[in-house]
Parts: sequence; C-alpha cells; structure tokens
Amino acid sequence: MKTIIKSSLIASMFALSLSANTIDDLSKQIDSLQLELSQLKSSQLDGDDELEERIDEIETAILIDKIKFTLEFRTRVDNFNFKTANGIVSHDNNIWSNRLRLNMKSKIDDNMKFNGRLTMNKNWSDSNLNNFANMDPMQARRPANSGIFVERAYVDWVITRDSIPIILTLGRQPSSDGPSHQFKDNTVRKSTYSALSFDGAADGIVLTMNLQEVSEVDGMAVRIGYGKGYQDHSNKSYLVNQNSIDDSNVLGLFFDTGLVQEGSLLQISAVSATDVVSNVEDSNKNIGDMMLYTAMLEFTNIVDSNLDIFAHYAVSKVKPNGISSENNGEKVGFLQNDSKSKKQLTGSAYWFGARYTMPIKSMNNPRIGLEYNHGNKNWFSFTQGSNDLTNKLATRGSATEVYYIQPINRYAHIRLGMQMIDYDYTGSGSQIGLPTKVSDTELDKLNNYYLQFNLAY
Amino acid sequence: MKIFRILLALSIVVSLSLASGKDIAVNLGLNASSKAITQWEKVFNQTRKMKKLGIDTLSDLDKNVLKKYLINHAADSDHPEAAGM
Repeated sequence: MKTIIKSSLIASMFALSLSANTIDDLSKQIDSLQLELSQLKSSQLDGDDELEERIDEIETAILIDKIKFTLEFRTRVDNFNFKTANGIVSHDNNIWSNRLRLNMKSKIDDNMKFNGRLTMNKNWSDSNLNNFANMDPMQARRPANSGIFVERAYVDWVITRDSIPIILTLGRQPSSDGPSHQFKDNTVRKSTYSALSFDGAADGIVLTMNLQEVSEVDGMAVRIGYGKGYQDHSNKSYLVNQNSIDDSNVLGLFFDTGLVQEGSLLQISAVSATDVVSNVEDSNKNIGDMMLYTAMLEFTNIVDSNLDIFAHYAVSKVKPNGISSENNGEKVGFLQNDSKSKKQLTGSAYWFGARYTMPIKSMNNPRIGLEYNHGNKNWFSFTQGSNDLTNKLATRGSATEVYYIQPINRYAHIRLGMQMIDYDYTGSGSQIGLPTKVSDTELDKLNNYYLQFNLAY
Repeated sequence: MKIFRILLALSIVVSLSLASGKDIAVNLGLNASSKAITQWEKVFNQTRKMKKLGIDTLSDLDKNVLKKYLINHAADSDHPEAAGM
C-alpha cells in the first residue's frame, strides 16, 4: 500500500513539474507574440504616416498650383483668290500664320472660378498688324505681331445655388468661336452666342439663370448680357472729354436649352445696341441703333448616326439717326450714305451645315463637313472678330465652305478646306455706307483654299 | 423656316433614343470628372478595376457607351465653354 502511495506522489510531482514547464513556454510564446504585434502596429503606423506625408505633398502641390493651363497651337496656310465684278482676277497665295493660345482655368472656391485665354496670332515673318487687329473685338482674332493679347478673362460667380442657381459672369467674355463653329474647329461649344450674330472678343457682364434643375432639361438657361460696343473716354481720364460721343451700349436676352441628346442646343436671342458708332478715324459719330434677333438649333451625333447638323437664322433691324461721318471724302451713315433718313432697314441671314464622322478606325475616324450661309442687302451683325479672316458669316451674298478633318491623335488634327464667297452687295460686315449691287472694280468673288495643323492639349 | 421644322421633328425622334452613357454612369455612381482620360482607359483595361466599379456586369455595348461618355467628360477632356457654364 505504501508503495502505491509513494508511486502516486512521485507521478503527481512529475506531472506538476511538467505542467509548470508548459505554462512557462506558453507564457513566453504569448510575450513573443505580443512583442511582434506591437512591432507590427508600430511599423503600420510608420507606413500610415509616410503615406499621409506623401498625400500631403501631392495635396500641397495641387493647392499651390492656382491656375491650370491648356494649350492650343495652330499653323495654317491660306490661298486667297479674288475676282472683281468686271472680271479682274488677283491672288494672295501661300500666306502662312501661327496661332498660340494658352487657356487658363482656376477654381477659387465652390462658388467662384476664373477662366482666361492669352493669344498670339501672327503671320510668318511679319510683325505688322492686320487691318483692325488692334480694335477691341478683333484683338487676338486677327494676325498681329508676336505679342500676347488677352482674348478672354472672366470670373463665373455663383451668387445663389437654390433651385434656380444664378451665376454672374464678369470680364472679357467667352464670346468668340461660338456655336456652331465647333464642328469645323473639331472641338466642343466654345462660346455663349450663335456665331452667325456674334463673334469676337467682348467685355461685359452676363447674368445666367440656370434652369436645369427646375426643368430637368440639360443646358436650359436664361441669360441677360450687358456690354459696350464702344466706350468713350478722355486719354486723361480725370478730365472731361469735351468732344465725346455717346457710348454704344449692348443689352441682350438669351434662352438656351438642350434637346435631350447631349451636344444639342436650341438658342433664341434678342440683342439691342444703342448709339452704334461709325468707327471712322477723326470723324467718329453715333449713327443709330439696332436690334438683332437670332434662332439656332444644332445636334451632335444625331441618333448615333455620326452626323452633326446645325441651322441658324437671324434678322437685323437697323435704325439710322440721320447722322453721317466723313470717310475718305464721302459722307456715310448707318447702312446709308449722306442721308438724313431714319427709316428702319431690315436685313437677314441664315447659316446651315453638317459634318459627318467616317467610321474608319484605321484612319482615326476622319470627318467631312459642308456649310452654307446667305445674307441679304441690309444684313449686319457683330462678327467683326470672326472665326476666320474672311468673316464669311457677314457676307451680303452667299458663302459655301467644305472641309476635311484628319485626326492625327486625340489632340491634333489637320484640316483641309475651301471657302467660296460670292458677294451680291458691297460693304459686308461694315455698318457704314449704303450697300449697293456689286459692280465694276468691286469685289465679287473671294475663294480661299487653306490647310491647317491644329493641336489642342 | 422649313429646315427648323425638320430639325425640331428630329429632336423629338432623338428624345426617344437609347440610354445614354450619362444614365449608366449615374446608375453606377460614377463621376466622369473624377478621373483623367488615361485613368479611365486604365479602368476599362483591367477586369479587377471594372469589377470594383460595377462595370463588369454591363453588356459590351453599354460598356462602350459608358467608356465614351467617361472619356469625353473626363477631368482633362475638352469641356464646353459659355458664360455661367
């Protein structure tokens, strides 16, 4: 019996010592695991800190990069051919030019952003200013020297973000290369107004009431615009200008709406310009008032057909005040010569066209386009700073343009085009002088064959 | 003008057209301007990324429509410009 008790005691003691050893091991293992875990946590925190620092660096770089620049560059060659009514033909061929645009964008906060465009536009090896290149609406729009003009500089300020957001646009406006020039220019809408009635640089204020939310229609908005066609001032602004003439004030109302499909636009507008000036050097006068009514419609890639189409129609109603300026020894008034008449003169014009994108992937989907416009005897609009040198949309007669666009990559393309302008009446694009049937040595036909390389990045 | 009447009639036809890339993007909660063009291209080149954004379940036609929309409206795409836009 004693032997049994002894044996049991020895066995229990052995088991206890073994158990103590196992607990010790386990305890050591737990300590080791805890150490590893804390090291892992520590390295994780170090990694997080490093990642946060790197994100901070990127965020800082973005925050101090106040203005985002994009680039547009164009090299172009024009070949002009003229024919007078009495059959004399002349040429101005192989005219090369460069145009550089630096577009700027800056988001100041959620309710304010800035947009701008700095432009150089010049003929090769020529620093002379094209006629009118220094005039306000034509700055950057006509070849000049290698200097930079500010073509656009405006702030969009969201005053309220209620169901009808109201936005005020102050400054040198997005008023050039408007709808539907984007098809030919191989881009998207680049201006507020129909290019049949308005094209050029312009300073002003535009109040936009965005109706998208209340109407649930993309692009629906009403705009009221105010600007000056001419502002008289003294060279020494603190002195009264004794020989001043009245400022020309421009006020417009515009209604825009999309038509379900993206890239579609319907715009209807009425613009009043009072105290229009003759712009004649040394004899600048207020020559009358005018109204300009425009309606336009355009579709991009209509029903996924690769076809883009547009049509514009406008009516100008000129009211001369009977005052004339003296221009090259002749008296000229608003669409009339030396006349005291104040009779309203009505003009009209239309412009339509189409562009087709060829589904040839191997050729980067080239495009072809056709445009036609016609203006009658008294047609007058505000396209002096036009998309191209010929100001074809001001034609008192008809103009046809065909073009081919060959994309090189996403950002660059080549355009080959031909413009054929047939003038019926004189003075296209000018507010002074009586338009008369083209005769004798007056310009009857103008053709331009052009080729251009364009990069927008 | 006759041409305006024709274009207006076409607009009605267009209004009955197919689901747009914008609709698909809205349904998937995708914001086109949240990425640059190259980033969207990368998304459509990687099944994992498409799966993450729910694009993998779309038909090939819808994928193409969506891709075109996202690229055309990417952060660095050619944006329309007008006063107050």
